[in-house]
Amino acid sequence: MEIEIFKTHEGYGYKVGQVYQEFHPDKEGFVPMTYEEAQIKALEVKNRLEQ
Amino acid sequence: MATTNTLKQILHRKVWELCTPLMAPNNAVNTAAGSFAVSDKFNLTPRANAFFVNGVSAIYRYDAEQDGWQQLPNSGIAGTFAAGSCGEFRGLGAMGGVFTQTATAGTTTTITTNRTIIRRLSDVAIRVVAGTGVGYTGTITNSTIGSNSVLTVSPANAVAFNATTQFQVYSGSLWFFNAGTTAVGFSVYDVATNTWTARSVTGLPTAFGTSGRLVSTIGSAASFGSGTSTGTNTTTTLNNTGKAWLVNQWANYQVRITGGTGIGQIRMIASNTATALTVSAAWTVTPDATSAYLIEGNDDYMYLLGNNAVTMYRFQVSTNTWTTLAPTAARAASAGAGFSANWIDSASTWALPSNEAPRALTGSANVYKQLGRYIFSFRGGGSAGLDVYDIAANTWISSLAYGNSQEAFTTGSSHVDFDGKIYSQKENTARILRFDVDSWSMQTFTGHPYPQGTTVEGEKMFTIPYVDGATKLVYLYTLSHSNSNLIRVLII
Repeated sequence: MEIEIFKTHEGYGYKVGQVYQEFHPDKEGFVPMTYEEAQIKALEVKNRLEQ
Repeated sequence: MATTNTLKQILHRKVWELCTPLMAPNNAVNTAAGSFAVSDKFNLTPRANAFFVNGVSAIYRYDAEQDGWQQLPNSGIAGTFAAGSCGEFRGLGAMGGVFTQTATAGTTTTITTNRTIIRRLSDVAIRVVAGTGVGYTGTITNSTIGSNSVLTVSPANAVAFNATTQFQVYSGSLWFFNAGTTAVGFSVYDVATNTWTARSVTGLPTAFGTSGRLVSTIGSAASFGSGTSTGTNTTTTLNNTGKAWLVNQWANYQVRITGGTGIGQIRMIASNTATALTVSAAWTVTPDATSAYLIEGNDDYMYLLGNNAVTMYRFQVSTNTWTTLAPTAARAASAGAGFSANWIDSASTWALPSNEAPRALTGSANVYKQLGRYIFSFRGGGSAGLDVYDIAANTWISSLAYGNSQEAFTTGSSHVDFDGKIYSQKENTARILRFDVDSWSMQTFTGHPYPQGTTVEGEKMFTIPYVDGATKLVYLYTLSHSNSNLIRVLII
């Protein structure tokens, strides 16, 4: 399954399959992700999708 | 020719219709604890949407117009699907996980988005809530498919939309809370973009089970108060000296300016006096004596109840944050298996008088006849107890007596509300009861006509309205326990 990391106006987001994420999903409010965080979170979602 | 319902009780009995069953692989449908159904009961979106969630990757959309099913993408949600999983349908689309979108450009008839829309959005309602064009309401007549989708709207606006335009579309979204033992999940599926977006679970317990219900106070469901401001407003108030409101009866509702100065603005109501609303965020344009307004359910809030606990949580969509509520009076008993949670937005005898001062419910002085204010909750867990949560006062009123309260609910009971009535199916017993807010009593309603399998926790019923002009007919649908059957009955 393809992981796509994209730039947002504040940080980075990811898209894995039909899961799309612009902000840090584990923090309160709309916290932008760094590139590394987006990669880590995308891998977590990829693993869940492939279970 | 207009549709007319001439059915009469006793003369006509309720007749169940077999709908297209959901024949998932191996017919393994409705066997997963926590599986639930939700629908567009307020008819806010085209094509009569309902959704059935049977697992994190077994999620289906039911098109009631066509009586057909479509599988949706894998949610990728955190948590473990089990008893306690629950969801809610919202008419507002949630592209990127939020209701309010910002345009990148526009003309008087087009709005350019930064979203990748994959469904044609014809007949979808749209409204502009801030920026250039605020107050505009119209219908999307066409949308381009793919990235940076362009929405064509009708009628044309007086001025061109632009990159300051903030808008909401009624294309629909499915909100999915997933249970778990070491982590929970919360994600939203946006119909227009066909994507899932994870939302915050910060502030929620990491273990959640037994039973769950997610409840919204939907702004477009109905208006509960209305008028035209009498002016002399500040940046955070709206006055109407013709009213005699109870202090804070409108707290946590939203006010929407529908005409005159400041049209299109929506603000949460923080508090109110007898004649003045105080809003939680300053007006961009302060209303004046030309400003007409409506008071509605707060689109920004959702409530999560269950987990065999008294504690409840509130999610704010616009900030992506959960709050653990601290009601003035705690609920007297936990929300157990098969409990209910229904926001009551309609009941014919609960209409407010013209000065909008609510009357107390006979025999329950702490409950006011005020629609949109309460979440009714039968306790479940083998109890027939009824508690109500007061959204405006942030308190519980527990152990309310009601008529004909023989039946207790437990694991696998389903509850869906419509027009001031809560339809409850007691586990897999086939008995469907109806709590009527107006008469404050539980009534017999009908029975599920087919044998059902093992009881499975989760909401199995939903409603779909058929609207033809002023005529509205409502169908009650139910999925069978441990069975793929979907059946419906016209509510008469």
